[in-house]
Amino acid sequence: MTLDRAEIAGTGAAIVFHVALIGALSIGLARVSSAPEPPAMDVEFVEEIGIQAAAPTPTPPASQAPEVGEAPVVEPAPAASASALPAAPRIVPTPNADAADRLKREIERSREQAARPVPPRPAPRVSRLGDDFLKGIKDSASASPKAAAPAFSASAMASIQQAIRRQIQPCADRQVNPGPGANRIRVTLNLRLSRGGRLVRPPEVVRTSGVDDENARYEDRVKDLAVAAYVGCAPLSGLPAELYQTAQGGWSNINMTYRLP
Amino acid sequence: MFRKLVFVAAIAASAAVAQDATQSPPPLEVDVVGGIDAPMPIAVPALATPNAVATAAGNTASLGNQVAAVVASDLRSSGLFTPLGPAGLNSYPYVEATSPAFPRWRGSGAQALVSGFVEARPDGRITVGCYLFDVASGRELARQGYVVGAAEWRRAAHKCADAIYTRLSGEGPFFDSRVVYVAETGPKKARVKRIAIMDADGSNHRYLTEGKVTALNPRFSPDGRQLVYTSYLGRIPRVFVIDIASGNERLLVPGRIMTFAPRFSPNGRDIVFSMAQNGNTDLYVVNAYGGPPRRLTATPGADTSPSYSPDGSRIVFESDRSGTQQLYVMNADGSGQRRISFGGGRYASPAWSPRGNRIAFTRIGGTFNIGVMDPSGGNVKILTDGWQDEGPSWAPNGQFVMFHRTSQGSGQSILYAVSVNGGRARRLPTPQDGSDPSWSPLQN
Amino acid sequence: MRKTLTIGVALLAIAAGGCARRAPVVDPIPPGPSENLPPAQEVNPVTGDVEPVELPAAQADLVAKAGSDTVYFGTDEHVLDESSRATLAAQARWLLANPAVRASIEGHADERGTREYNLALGERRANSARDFLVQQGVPAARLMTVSWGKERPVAQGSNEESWAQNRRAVTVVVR
Repeated sequence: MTLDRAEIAGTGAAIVFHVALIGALSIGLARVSSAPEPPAMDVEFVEEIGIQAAAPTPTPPASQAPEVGEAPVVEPAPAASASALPAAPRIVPTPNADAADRLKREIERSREQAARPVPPRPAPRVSRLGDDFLKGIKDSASASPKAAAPAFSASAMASIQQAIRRQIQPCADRQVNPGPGANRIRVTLNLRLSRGGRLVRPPEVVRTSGVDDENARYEDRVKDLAVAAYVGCAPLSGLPAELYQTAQGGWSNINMTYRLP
Repeated sequence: MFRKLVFVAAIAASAAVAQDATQSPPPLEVDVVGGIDAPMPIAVPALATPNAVATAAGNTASLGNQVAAVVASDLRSSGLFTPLGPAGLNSYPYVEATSPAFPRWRGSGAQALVSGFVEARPDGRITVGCYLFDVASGRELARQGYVVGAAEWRRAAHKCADAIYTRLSGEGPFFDSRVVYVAETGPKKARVKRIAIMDADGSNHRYLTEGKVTALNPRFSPDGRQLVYTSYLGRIPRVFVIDIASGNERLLVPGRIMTFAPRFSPNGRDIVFSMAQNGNTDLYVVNAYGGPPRRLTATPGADTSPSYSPDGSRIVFESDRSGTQQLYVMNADGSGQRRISFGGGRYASPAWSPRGNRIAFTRIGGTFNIGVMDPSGGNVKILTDGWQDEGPSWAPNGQFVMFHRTSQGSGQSILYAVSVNGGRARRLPTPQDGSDPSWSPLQN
Repeated sequence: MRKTLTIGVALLAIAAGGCARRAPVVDPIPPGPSENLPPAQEVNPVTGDVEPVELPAAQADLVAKAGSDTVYFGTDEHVLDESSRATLAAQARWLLANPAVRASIEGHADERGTREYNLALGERRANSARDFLVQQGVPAARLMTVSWGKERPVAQGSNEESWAQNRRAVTVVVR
C-alpha cells in the first residue's frame, strides 16, 4: 500500500499525516470515519394512483450529485484537502514493484528527453495498446512541443496507461456481463483528475460504439459498468506529478474506454 | 428519463471535449477490458419504516422485511443475481433508505444495494419506496415509489424487483406478471384438469374452473383480463373465452364443432384457433367478439398450435402436411405459408417471442425438449433436457420460457422456466401438478 | 362457475359409463327407447346445446355383441387394420339393430405427442372409425366424434405396450 506520491512530495506535514493514516488504515479505523454522506432525501410521491409507479419527485438539493456522479470520490475543490481527508482512506490497488520501477525509469527517460530538445520520434510499437493509443501519439506529436514543459514521451505515456489499467483492472474484472452481445459495446469515459489523483468532476460518457439492435438494451448498463469499474478502484495513485499536465497531454485528462471481455 | 439525462450529458460532454481539443492536448487514452459471467451479488436488506404502524397486512416493519424477501426471491429467480438478505443482513435506519452508509455495504461484498421504506398512509394504504445504488460508486441507479393497498404489497415488491432487474440487466420487466396453467390432480387415467391462475412467483394461487370438466390450453388476452381455453363442457373440446375477474364465459364458435388451441392476436381483436372436421384440422381466425370464422389453412393434415408475431402481421404454427410435425410461418391472412423447421426430428407448439426475434418450440427427437430459433428457422438452440418438455410460453420480456415437464411413467407434470441464454431450468411452485402454462403480459 | 344440473347429471352418467365399459355385464339389458334413461336434459346456457348422455347398459350390450368397443392404431396413424375393420363392422351391425341410440366415436393418442397435436390426431382417428361405420350403413346423423388427445389414457405406463393400448378409438353409445 502506498500513498499518493504527489502528496508525499508536498510537505513534511503531509508525510506525517500519511504515516498516521497508514496506521489508522491498518487497524481499520479509517473505514469507520467515512465521508459524510449526503443528507437524507426528501422523497415525495405523486398523488395516489393505485399501483402505478408513483415516481418520487426528487427534491433533494444536496443529493443531486449522487444521481449523476459518485459523491464519495469526487473532490470538491483541489485545495479542500482538509475536507477531503476523511474520504481519503480508500484501499487502492497499486501497480506492482516491477511496474513502478519501470514507470520510474520511463519517467526519468522522459525528463532527459525534455532536457534535450529532440524532435518527437515515431511512436514505437508497444504491446497491449490499442488504436486509441496510437491516435493519441499522433495527435500529441503533431502538437508543437514547448521546450520548457516536460515532454510526454510515447514510452512514458505507455507506462502511465499501463499503470492506470492495472489499478482499474481488478474492479473491471468484477463487473457482471448483462447479456450476450454486451461485450461489443465500448464506452469511453472522460475523467478529469486532480493532482491528488481524485476526480474533480463525475466521469462523463463521451462516446459509445458497438451498439447494435441486439445489444442496444445493454448500452446504459455498460455505461454503468464503465463508471463502476473506474470509481471502484479510484482514486488513482502513484502517477508521476511531472506528467500530470504537459503540452502533449497528461493524466489530468483521461479518456478511459471500457468493454466487457 | 434517465436515458435522456445521460444522453444530454454525453452530448454536453463531447461538445466540451471538442472545444477543449482546440486549446489543450487530447485526453490520455486508456483501454480497460474486464468483466465476468456470474450472478451479481446484491444486498437486499429489509426495507426501513419511519414508524412501525399496523396495517391490514401486518405492521410496516414486518412488511419491510416481507417486501425485501419477495424482491430478493424475484431477483434470484432471474439467475442474474445472488441476493444477500434480507435474512442475515442488518437493516438500516429510515434516513439511510435514500442515502445509504456505503462503506458498510462495500464490506458486504455486494455490488449493488436495494434500499427503501414502507410507510403507512392515513388512507390505510402503504407507500413503498424502492432505491437502487451502485455500492462502489455510491451512485443512485434507480428509484421507484408505489402506493398500494396494504394487501397488495406483493405487487409493489414485484414492481420494485422489476425496476432493479430492468436497470441492471437492460432487459424488460417481467416479475409483475401472472401465469395461467392446467392444474392436474388424480391418477394418470383419470386426471382432473382445471385452469388455475397465480402470480409468476406462485403466490395468490386460485382456480378459474371447477374440476368436473376437463380444461386445456389456457392463454391470456393481451390486456391480461381474459383467457381463451379449451373446455370439454358438452363432452366435446371447444374454445371458450372467460373473463378472469367475473368468471363469465362464452363459447367462441357456436355449434358442436371441435375447436381448440386458441390464441389472441396481439391487439386483442382476433382469436386464431384450430377447428377439426372430418379428420382434418385447419387454422381459423375469428373476431374476439364473435362473427363467422375465416379459414387460414386448407391442407390435408393437422394445422395447429398457432402463435402471432408481436406485430400481428404473421402467424407461426405447426403442421404435419409434410408427413411429420414441422413449423410454418404465414401472413396473418393465411397467405405465404412456408416451412421454417428443417432440423432433425419433429417440431411442435411454436410460440413467437414478445420481442419478435425468436420462436420457442418443442422439438421431438428421442425426448421432448424446448428450444428457440430465429423466425427464419436459423440459429436453433435447445434449452432443456427433460424426458418430455413441451408447451413453451414466453415471459413478457422475452427473456424466459415457461413449459411443462412430464415424468416418464408417473405422468407427473411440473412447470419450469428457463432463460433463453441457457442455464438450468427453474421449477415453479404449484400446489399440484401443472401443464400448459401461459405467461401473462406485464400487469399495469 | 358452471352449476347447471345438466353437467352433474352428465358426469354421473360418464362415471357410470366408464365403469360399465371396463366391466361389461354378462346379461345385457336389451337397448331401446324403453331403457331407463336419465331425466330430460336441459340446454346448457353457455353452450346452447344438449350434452350426449352415456347409456351403460347399451354400452355393455355393444361390447358383448360386437366383441369390443375399441379399435387400435399405429404411432401417428389413423389407418384401420383388418381386425379393426372387423370390430367396426360388428359395431355397425349392432348400431343398425338399435336405431334408437347414437354413438360418440372417441379418438385417443398416446403420451408421445404434444397436447394440441394429439387433439388433432385423436379427431383424425375418431373420424376414421366413423367413416367406416358410415360405409357400413350407419346413418351419419347418428354418429358424432370427439377427440381426447392424450388426456385420457387407459394404460398408465410409459412404454410401447401401454402406448399401443392408448392409441385407440372407442365407440360410446349415447342418447
